[in-house]
Amino acid sequence: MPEFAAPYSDTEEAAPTTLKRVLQKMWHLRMGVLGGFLILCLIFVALFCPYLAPHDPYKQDITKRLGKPAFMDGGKAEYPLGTDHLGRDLLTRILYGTRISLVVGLAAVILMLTVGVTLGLVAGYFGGKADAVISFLVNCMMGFPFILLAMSLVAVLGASLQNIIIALGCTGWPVFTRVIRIETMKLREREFILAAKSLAFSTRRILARHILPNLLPAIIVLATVEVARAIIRESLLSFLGLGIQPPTPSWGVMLAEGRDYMLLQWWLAAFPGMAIFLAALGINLLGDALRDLVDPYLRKT
Amino acid sequence: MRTFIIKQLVQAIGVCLVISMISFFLLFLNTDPALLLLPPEAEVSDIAKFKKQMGLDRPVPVQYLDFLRKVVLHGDFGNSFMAKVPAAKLVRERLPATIELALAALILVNLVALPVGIVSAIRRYSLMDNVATFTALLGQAMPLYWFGIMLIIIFGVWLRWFPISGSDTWAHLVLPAVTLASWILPINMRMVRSGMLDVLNQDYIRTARAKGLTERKVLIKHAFKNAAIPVITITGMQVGALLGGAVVTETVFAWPGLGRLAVDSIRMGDYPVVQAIVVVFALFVVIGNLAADILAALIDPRIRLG
Amino acid sequence: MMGSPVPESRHPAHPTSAPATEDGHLLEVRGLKKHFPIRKGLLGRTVGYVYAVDGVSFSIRKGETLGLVGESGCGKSTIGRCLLRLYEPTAGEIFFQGTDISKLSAGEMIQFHTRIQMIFQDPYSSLNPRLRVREIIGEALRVHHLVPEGDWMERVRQLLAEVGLQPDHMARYPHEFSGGQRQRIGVARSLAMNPDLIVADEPVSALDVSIQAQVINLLDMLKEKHGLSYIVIAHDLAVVEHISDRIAVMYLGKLVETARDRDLYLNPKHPYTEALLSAVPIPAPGGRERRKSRKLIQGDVASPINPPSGCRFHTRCPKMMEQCRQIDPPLLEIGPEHHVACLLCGGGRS
Repeated sequence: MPEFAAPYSDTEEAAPTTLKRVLQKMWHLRMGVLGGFLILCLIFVALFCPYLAPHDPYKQDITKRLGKPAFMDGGKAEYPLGTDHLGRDLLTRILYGTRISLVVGLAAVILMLTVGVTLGLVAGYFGGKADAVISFLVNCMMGFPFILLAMSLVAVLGASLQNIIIALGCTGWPVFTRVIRIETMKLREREFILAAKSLAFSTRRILARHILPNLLPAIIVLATVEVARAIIRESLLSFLGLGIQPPTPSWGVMLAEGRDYMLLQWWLAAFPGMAIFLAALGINLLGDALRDLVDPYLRKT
Repeated sequence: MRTFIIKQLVQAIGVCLVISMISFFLLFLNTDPALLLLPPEAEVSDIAKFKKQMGLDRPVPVQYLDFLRKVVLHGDFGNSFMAKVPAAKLVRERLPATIELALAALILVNLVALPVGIVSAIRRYSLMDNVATFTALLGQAMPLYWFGIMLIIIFGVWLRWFPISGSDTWAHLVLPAVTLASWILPINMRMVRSGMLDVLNQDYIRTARAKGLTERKVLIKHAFKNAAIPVITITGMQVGALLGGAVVTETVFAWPGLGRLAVDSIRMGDYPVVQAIVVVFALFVVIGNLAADILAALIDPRIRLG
Repeated sequence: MMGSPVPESRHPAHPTSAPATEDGHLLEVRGLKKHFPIRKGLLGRTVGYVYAVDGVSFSIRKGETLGLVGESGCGKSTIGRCLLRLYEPTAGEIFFQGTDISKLSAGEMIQFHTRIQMIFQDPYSSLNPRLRVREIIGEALRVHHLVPEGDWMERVRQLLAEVGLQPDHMARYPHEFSGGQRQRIGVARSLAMNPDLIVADEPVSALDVSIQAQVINLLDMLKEKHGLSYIVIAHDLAVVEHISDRIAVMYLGKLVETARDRDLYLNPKHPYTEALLSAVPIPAPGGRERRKSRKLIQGDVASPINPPSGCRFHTRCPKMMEQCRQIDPPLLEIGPEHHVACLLCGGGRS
């Protein structure tokens, strides 16, 4: 066999065998379903945690502090994941933490959406000076580590649930603006927009009924991923002490508290972190699957 | 080309200015700075006198210009509230540690991302590719500090392979660097993969193959060379993420760098230091992006003309 | 067709018959120009212009169809868009039913938008993929209150039937239709406004040849039925031949010849027109004696950014003379309704 034969043909590189492609699609779908399932669990826990949790998340009992999880010897079944340094049941606090994370994540993304999409629409549709200013702003904010900005905002405004949502929302919108702007610019040139103009529809109507609905797929995919990122960022801020304050059971706060005890009572840090990880993973999986779904749809139209 | 560079430079300067403005005005958002500097028992008249002395009674824009002048001309950010030494000095002391950490992380990332990304591109949909994609997915969901803490617990406490805080020996560098690297790795892997894919799909690669070159020669002579440059541009764009990750990593591992200084300063309300760090970070980010943009424009003429 | 519950009479803003200018023209375009600035450099300085349309004048009578033909890039689509005010003319006047609409404000333009409508070229991007067909067609009806609120769906059904589609398709989405069907939807959409003039911008260029004839015939039938006037823009003379009363040939932003349909085919005067005609395929051997040989055009299209001096066609003209380099020939009348812009064909009054 002559040596110059490539290990794979050109066409195979460009289009892998149908079998492989189908497998990957199924894989994505299955991952998406897994992600959806995780998210449903999250929502379920958030809604029903008072009934699921074995204890009160705030009740302290110093005599029971630093108890081991039930699966280790020395642990009691009463406290499945052990107790923290103030004697509170870890499992309960983790379950209640779901509420905080979901609320913060969703609220922050809604804020980001509102600001980001509006600015993106304006920049993309009207162009010109508005676009120049908005793009400049976006560039300013995009490269900058979110942490510093958000931390400073929280420090200045004070650490409360509300302020965290504001801080997250105010630092996260550029992602949306950037994407929406490009998509709007692409849409603006399509003939059905010209048709709408020639039918004397108002600009507001064109933006609301013709451009925005065509942006929805991109928005949904982006928003999903951003919720996961918002949850992680919230826990990061709380971990650094600039987010939710104890005794409110935020996963980040629990991680921070657990860090002091990580040498011996490793579970105090491990489990809250696992919760964050699973939540973010679920959302990301769903988001990826959504993107897969949305892409061919976009291409078909 | 020259217009492009100038345009980018102007934008970069603009960005720096805006960021310096934001960090400056943050100070005024909540409190009267004079109140921060004086003991709580100070009388109203004392406060007024102090303000006059420090020039804090002037209109805010004037103060900003003064601040700007001092920063640009002298690198003077004022004195740290806590440490009573020039903020710039503190920053200068801590900067090398952060750079050390960042460089170590970058090296690690490229050591992994480059081969993995390239192989993923060459053998698409293979096992390696799927594993890599899956790992990237996991990595994106992983909170950085949790990963760091887990590493500490597993490798530092249980296995006792590495020390877990401080920065004395190179062994101290390992865990923090790995943690920080994991922050950047998923995106880097994906970018290397897609950059390589782009290159491989180009017509000139197909021509080279048609000419009869061995696959290896095709890769070495053409593909790698052209894929190397996107890697550099990616790194430039990641400076921001790198610095952000450094903030967290340093806190987790008690690494004496700028990141930890930032967190402590913000918590303590030590604004001069905060301003200094913000400006320094912004400079790095801006320079990184600028370098990346210029490099990209050098390779792809469409960027500078479009 | 079943009795229409909604009369085909006009929107309240329309009088029952379209008024015309003094000489009975529905549309009169004078000296229309559209130049697109080219910006370069740090501050976006204007370094040049694309002279897309550079002084075009023509007119249309009520009930007439004008075919506007030319190569890609000659500016014909731009003219169409200027008429709809989708682009702002750089200079010139557009008199529609006696009013100069080239300078009206957006608010004043609204009533004219109902009278001039456009059919677009690309059936795959001219319909909003997220709206159902009934919304695409009916939106205008509802926004402009063209029919009583409860009757709009009935009207949509009527319109669909008129363009040859099944009325119960109105709940479907555009991607469920073929290209030809989508174009019909586009036609229905513009009919909804009861226009007097329809500008069809390359209405069949994106369609299969077999479908092209169907759509052209549809346009023809609608014209008869509703007393419409058309401007049909195309790059292919064969397309407009069947449907046009008059034809205007464009090159590089200017008109080179306008004539009645038959006159253009039997008696073309401009070298460019001759070349275009010779490219039209002859359906059967032995038919139409006039075309004996292909007249090929040399060279590439000159650029609208830097048009040639004098007569714009001189760089490619087989009959070029020395004067053609210097003098830009005006459009002169050489016969009844037959104008040519060529130094070889001296003419009478313009």
